[in-house]
Amino acid sequence: MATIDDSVLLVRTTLAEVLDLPFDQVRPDASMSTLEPWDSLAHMRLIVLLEQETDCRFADDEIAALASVNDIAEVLAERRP
Amino acid sequence: MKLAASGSHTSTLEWEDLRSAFARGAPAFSRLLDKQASDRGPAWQKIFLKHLSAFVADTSDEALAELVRQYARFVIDLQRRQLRFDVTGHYEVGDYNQVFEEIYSNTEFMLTNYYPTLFMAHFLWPHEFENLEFFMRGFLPRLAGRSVRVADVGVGTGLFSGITLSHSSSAVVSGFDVSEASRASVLPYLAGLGCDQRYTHNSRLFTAGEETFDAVVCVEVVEHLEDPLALLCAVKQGLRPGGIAFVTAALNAAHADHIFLYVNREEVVTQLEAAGMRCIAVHEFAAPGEFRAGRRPSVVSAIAVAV
Repeated sequence: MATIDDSVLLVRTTLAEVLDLPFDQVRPDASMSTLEPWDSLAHMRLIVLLEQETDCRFADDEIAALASVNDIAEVLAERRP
Repeated sequence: MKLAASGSHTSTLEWEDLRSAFARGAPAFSRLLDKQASDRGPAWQKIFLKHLSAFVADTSDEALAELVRQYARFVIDLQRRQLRFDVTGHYEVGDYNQVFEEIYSNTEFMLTNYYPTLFMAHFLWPHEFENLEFFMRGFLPRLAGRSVRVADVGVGTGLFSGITLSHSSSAVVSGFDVSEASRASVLPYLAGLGCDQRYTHNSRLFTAGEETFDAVVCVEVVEHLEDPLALLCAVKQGLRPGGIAFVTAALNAAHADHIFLYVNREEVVTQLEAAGMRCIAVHEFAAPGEFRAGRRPSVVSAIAVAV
């Protein structure tokens, strides 16, 4: 199982790529309510890239509910081999 | 849960209840609600709540949670398709009969997922609301001051009929839709608005030559067809001399039931002209977000007259 730190790093890196932001601007406590460019379409791009990178699949209800770096990373940490 | 129950209903939907339902059930989508409210102000909230209150049969917490859940499911499926389209440039369906069987004939899906989501999308998605504003400010005033007979072709949820009937107390509307579910969506909604007495529903295709109307409304229908020009010809023939049409088409929008791919506004205008109509106003409303060049979803809206 991947560590939570590994997963936070992966989510931050991927989100920075999606939003075309410097890595440092995507903090571990970033959420859709605090990071302006993180809209629902960017959210979906993030989810799709994470699914491709990790072979994990997010259910629709999870995609709708997970709206912060930490929350997404926690789910990934539980599922990644 | 049934969101569009048969018979009249009146429900009171409070802004904070809707907002809480989004925040609890789909926080990834709740910011859009807040942003629209912030960008567009109380007038937007008022019209959104007025029409959504008339549309939903049940405003309990459980019903709103389900409404939000279904909205999120629809949008997630759409966005997955949109991201694939951004790469391929092709829609994934091309067979109208398949779409009809899998989607339009699935009454439960239509009433719990498809219609409620599209109804809300006309208010929540910025480009869709801009299109609705164009309809209200650019088209409906042209019908004012006289008794008008309007055909709503592909009436769907009934929103544009509801807006028309609310705006003009002398208008009467005939709605046409191939989906049986449309009737169960439209009639309670219009009853909730108190204008169902001026509406007639037809569960069938709109065909040319039966009768003519002062105005024809055809909102986001043509992209659902294999041969949109045939429908536009019927729209033209359904207009009385001097009649006016409001026609919209979705561009680059990879919905599960979009078949005909329009990639620019000129294609829409060309088809309207080929059908025998002349555009007197055309606007394009683009969806926000990052997309590959030439693949941004948008809505093209035209006001056209028969020539």
